[in-house]
Amino acid sequence: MKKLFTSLFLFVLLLSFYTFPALAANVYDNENLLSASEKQLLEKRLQDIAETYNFDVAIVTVDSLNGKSAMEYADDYYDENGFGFGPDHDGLLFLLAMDSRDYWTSTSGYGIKAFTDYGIRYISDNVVGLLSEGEYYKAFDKYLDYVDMFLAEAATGTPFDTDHEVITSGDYLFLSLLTVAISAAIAFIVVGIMKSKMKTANKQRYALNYVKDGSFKVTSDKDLFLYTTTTKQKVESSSNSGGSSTHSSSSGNSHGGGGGKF
Amino acid sequence: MDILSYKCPNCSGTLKFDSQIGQMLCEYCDSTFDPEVLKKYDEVLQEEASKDPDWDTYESDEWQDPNLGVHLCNSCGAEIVAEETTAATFCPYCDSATILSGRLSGALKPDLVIPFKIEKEQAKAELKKFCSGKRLLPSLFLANNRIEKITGVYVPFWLFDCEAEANITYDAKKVRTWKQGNYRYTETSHFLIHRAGKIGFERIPVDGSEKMDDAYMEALEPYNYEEAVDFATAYLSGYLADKYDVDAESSKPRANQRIKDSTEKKFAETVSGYAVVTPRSTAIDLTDGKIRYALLPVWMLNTKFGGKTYTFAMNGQTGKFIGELPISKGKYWGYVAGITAVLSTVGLLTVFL
Ligand SMILES: [Zn+2]
Ligand SMILES: [Zn+2]
Repeated sequence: MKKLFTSLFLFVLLLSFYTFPALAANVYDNENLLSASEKQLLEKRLQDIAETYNFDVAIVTVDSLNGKSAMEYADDYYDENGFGFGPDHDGLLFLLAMDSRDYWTSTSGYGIKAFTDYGIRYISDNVVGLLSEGEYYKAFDKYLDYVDMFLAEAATGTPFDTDHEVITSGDYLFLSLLTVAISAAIAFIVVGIMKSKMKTANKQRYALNYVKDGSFKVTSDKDLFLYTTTTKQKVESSSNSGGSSTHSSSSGNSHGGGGGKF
Repeated sequence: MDILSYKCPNCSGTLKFDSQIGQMLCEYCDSTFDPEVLKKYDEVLQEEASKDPDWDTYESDEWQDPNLGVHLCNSCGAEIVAEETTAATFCPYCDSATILSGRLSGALKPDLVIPFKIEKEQAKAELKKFCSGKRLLPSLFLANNRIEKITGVYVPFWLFDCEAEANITYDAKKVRTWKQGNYRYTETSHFLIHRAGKIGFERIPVDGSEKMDDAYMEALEPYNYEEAVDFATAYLSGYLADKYDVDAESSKPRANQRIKDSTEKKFAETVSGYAVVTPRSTAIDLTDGKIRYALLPVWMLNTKFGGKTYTFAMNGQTGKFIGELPISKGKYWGYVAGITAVLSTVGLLTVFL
């Protein structure tokens, strides 16, 4: 009996090891920007994301892009190291190049769907400040917060995009107050109408009931054109169509992505 | 060359004639104008100023009838005329029960009267109708109110007839917008509009009773004057009549104001096709002003609630019912809070889900 229990326990343990994509410890900190414990914490987070969403995330820091563009370097690094789960290589890679101070996010497979151009720009804008300050661990941690949040949203079927923008807690507070304020304004108007019906004894402004029949005569009417003024205003062309733009990497795989300088 | 003294209609700078383009040129705002247009523009602006309204003074005619008595209210001072046999138990204006009787002396004889046509019973029914569906009405109001206090009163009115001659100018704009390349263009055309003409008014009523709120009496309008008859004391039988205490002279400004507003409105309606129209100057002359004195029938209903008297009135000829009901503060804020809560909930659910 005890034997059976032990083997059952071992089986369950093995099963759980099997389902863990334990290979997802993808922090390649070639530049040693992170302490050993920081690296461990980030790897734990990458594992959690991999388990929850079956989505591969890699963080890579390098010294130089070796003449490639940040996009080319990130795409090739992704393809050559075989990142990504499943036949479409679902995942993303976040690259920092220290000498040129480039950062780049390369997406692949499901990553292209979950992280639109809008989404990548949104995440980058919120992380670039920390990168510039040299707070690399905080920047990566925050980056992963967003990755988590975007994957959760994409799982509902509608990833964040230009027509479905991210709303932060600050925005929520503002929206809540605005909603209550608008509701109260409508309430005062409705009750104001109810109140106005309580008093019908009001003065009359006009005396049009007492105009003598046929007495209204216009004897002179002139509409005199004087001059014309013209003003012009620049209009911004809005071509934010949303979605993800993709390109092919040198290995022929399709990637989405975006980045900039920090 | 008096043409050189024109002012720019756009910025009021002095215009100069530019012989090369044959136009008047403003050096301050770069506008150019056709000299012919400016000539007409100046003609239009040379309109005459308003004169004082030309109203007759009212010739009074004393009213002596041995059967009529004056009831005097101790509380508000109302002087109410009625047949000696008409029992006036309370004042129709202030709801006070102390009314003294005395002899009539020197009251004014009305030129015309519109007899009561609507019965007392209808006033009761109309008050109930008026209260129904009013969500802000205090619950106790209907339970506590004693609507049997209804009085038929002939209220004194001054009736004003006159001819109005108007001379009005407006500034008007037409706006056109279009897109070309990366720019949105807005073209505004400016116009000077001039209207002149006449309009006549007949028997605009102004309430001649001090105690009677003008707003109440104007809200009861209109009366149908076709049914007005020459005054005879017989019409007073069973009703009270208020003695006027605002004379014709003091009632003129109210008549003038309504005539002016109405004339402006009628002429403004003839200006159309513009995006914006703003009156620039208005001159209205009133001539042939005639004043008459009339008694018009009003049912007065008073009820006390929460230490305050609430007054309702019904047009004794047409049955139009008006008044002011008390508002429950609790219900008022209850509805504000309730509607805010429901809308906020719906709104927040839409925002967050
Ligand atoms: Zn000018
Ligand atoms: Zn009184």
